[in-house]
Amino acid sequence: MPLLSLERISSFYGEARALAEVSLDVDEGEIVAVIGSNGAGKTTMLRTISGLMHPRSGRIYFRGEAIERTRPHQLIRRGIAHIPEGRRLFAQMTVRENLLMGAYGAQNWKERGALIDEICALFPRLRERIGQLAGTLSGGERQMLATARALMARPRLLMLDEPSLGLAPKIVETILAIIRDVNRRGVAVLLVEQNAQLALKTAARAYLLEGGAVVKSGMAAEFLADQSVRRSYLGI
Amino acid sequence: MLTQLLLAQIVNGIVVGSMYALFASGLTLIWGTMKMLNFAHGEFFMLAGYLVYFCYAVLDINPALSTVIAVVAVFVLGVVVERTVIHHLLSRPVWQFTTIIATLGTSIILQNLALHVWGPEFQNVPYFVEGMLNVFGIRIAYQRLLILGVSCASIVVLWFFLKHTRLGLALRATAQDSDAAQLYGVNILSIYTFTFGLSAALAALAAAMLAPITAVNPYMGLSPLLKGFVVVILGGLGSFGGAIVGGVLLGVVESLGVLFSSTEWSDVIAFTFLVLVIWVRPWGLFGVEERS
Amino acid sequence: MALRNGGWRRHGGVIAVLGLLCFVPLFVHNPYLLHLFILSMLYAMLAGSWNLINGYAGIFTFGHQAFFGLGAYASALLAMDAGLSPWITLWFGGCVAALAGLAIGLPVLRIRSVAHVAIVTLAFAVIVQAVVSNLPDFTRGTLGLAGIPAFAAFVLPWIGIVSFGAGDQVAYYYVALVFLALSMALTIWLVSGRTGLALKAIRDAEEAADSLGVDPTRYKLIAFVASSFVAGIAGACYAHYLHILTPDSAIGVSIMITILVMTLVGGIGTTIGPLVGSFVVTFGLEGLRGLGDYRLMVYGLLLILFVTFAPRGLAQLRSARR
Repeated sequence: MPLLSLERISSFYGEARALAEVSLDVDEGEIVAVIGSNGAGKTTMLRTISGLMHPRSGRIYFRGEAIERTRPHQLIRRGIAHIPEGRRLFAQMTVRENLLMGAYGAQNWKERGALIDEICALFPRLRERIGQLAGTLSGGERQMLATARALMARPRLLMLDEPSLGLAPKIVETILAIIRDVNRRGVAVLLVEQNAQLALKTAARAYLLEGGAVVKSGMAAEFLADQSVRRSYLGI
Repeated sequence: MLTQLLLAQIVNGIVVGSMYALFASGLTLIWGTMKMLNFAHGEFFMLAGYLVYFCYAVLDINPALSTVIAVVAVFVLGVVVERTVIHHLLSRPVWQFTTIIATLGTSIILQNLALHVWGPEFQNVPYFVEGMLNVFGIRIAYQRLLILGVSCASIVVLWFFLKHTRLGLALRATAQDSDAAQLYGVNILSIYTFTFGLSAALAALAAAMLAPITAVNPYMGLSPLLKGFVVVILGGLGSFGGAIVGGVLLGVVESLGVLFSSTEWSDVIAFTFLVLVIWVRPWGLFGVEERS
Repeated sequence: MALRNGGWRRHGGVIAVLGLLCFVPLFVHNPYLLHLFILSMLYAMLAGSWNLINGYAGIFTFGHQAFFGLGAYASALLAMDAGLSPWITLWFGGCVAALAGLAIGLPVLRIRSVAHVAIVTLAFAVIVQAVVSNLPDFTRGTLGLAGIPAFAAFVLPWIGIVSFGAGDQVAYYYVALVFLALSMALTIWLVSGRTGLALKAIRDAEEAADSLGVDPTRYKLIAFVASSFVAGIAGACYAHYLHILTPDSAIGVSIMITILVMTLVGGIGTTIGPLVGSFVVTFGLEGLRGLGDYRLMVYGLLLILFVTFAPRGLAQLRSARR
């Protein structure tokens, strides 16, 4: 049984359809990429999984339970951590407080002190800035903080929305290395990216979303070899 | 002689201002988390005043206990109002307007309820403590010192709550980014309800302190409401610290203004002061510059 | 006058209502009912003018009563102290209100935060009310300005002399109707033409409009000044109809609340909304009079119920059926 399973999910913004019968799986311990151009529905898909939007039809299963009608704040407890587009840090809170928020909803509030230590070991730069306001951090540091915050919740599934956006390649590499590391420890990753090259190099499997529908799915290597994908999304 | 008069007025201004601060901090909390303006805030204030009058002046219950009763009762009222009137509006279209109308409607109901039950007369509430303190030739009523003490203590407690408790963290998170807050486990609907109740409780505390000084009547909520909005904008929307500073500042400006003109002009002074500050610094003293 | 946006046809409802109003005095002779009609029409002008900036331009102001009051007091005082005919002073009242609109609009309209604009405009209105209250030598203060002259009589062909004495309610009725019609025409012209398109663009997406070369401030200002002018005219008519003004009745916050309620009941952002809303609310409030002490409590309750079940106003209920 897959960890996360979307079955024919359709989401609407008012009368405009944003997702059309999207089906998708993520197994335990996998890294799955979802690529596609702007407006293809990638963010909508993540928001629908997170409960910030409710789908009009279709089912979403997480660890066997249907979650398409679950309220967003209950999902982190079940093990889904979502790093939204644009990071959405709490800009007027310190780095430490942002990390604390990571532990807020999951069942590990009591261990928050130890957790912060553990997380800061992964992100030494954050420890340096632990008392700083999140709004004053650089782009790369913000993405690190957003990732750290999510990891504070000890998720089973980590969903990232465009982590590379606006970041220098070197920093993106660092983040992806951490994600691969986290994945090796058993956390499944759903990686939504506009930078197809990056996504396909990191993930094992991938889906291509166009106009709200899945138009291709398979192993990442297949994608990389596919001529039309190379032309449209890899700029080759 | 003049210095003493000035000092006395400034002290008075700080005392009244600290009440404005408490009252306004409730308004700014609601704005910060729910992004709405609560037009019934003045009526929570008014009802608390009546409760203190009823408990202390009529039933002769100890003033501290009367205050606690008023604050708790109004907290519950705030929660009830939020759940019944506001809650469902927040997720629907044009909620910025519908919540204003709904809170206006609530305020009309509550005001007329008070009018119906107690009549339009002013009711006097005796001072909680009698006597005056004499320092440097300035005479300050102990009641006013009590007010100052209570408001300082409440502000400290509130600040501590917001900064160092789990619930306070959740509240701040909701105010800064409600989507992200939800993603990390905050039940924002419960936060809204709690915030509304808390805000009402703050207004209630201010009313309990001020009741002996200003007397209680069904219309006593309007002027604080208007001034409360002024303070909130002055301090910067959503800024708790700003509401505190803005409130005290308004109190002092008003007090000094009354010295040079008269009480009828105190409203004009207050509002003109606001307009001037906003002219220079549109987002208020501590507000975050809005980048829509 | 070229009108894009469907032009006059889209506002058929407004024209129909105005047309119907022409015939009311033929059937209704009860002076109190006529009084309610007149008040409704004046409020329709006022609410309509507020709706122009709020519903169409998306600027939520909370001090519109100031323009109404300024128009009322300016016209009344000029007529009383300078002995000019109210037919002239009412335009003066409108101009004073328009100037105030310009003075307030310039600094305020640049602020993008809705709450700021609302509270600063409220502050302005409270200042105006307080100033008017506290200058008794000039405005007779809170005791009220009484003895405001009525409109001067004039002669119309076929009808003869039209006078505005104590029993001449029908004359006042038609004056109110004419001004209402004029203000509706102005509103329709503004929202249907280029200004209207610009305003809607600004309301829906200010930055986008800005980047397309639509200067938001200029259009907002036009709407604001027009809106305050109309409010001032409505105020002046009010003054010369009732012959008495007090700061509370002409500039009180309750006026703003009433405008808000009327516009919301009728439907924000539609021209017919405030028109219908003002009649519904004025007559509705009268209907509640039978409830005595509980009247206002029921009013409050109705507000809450209305906003819960019909947030877009009565206009929405009609269009929802389509």
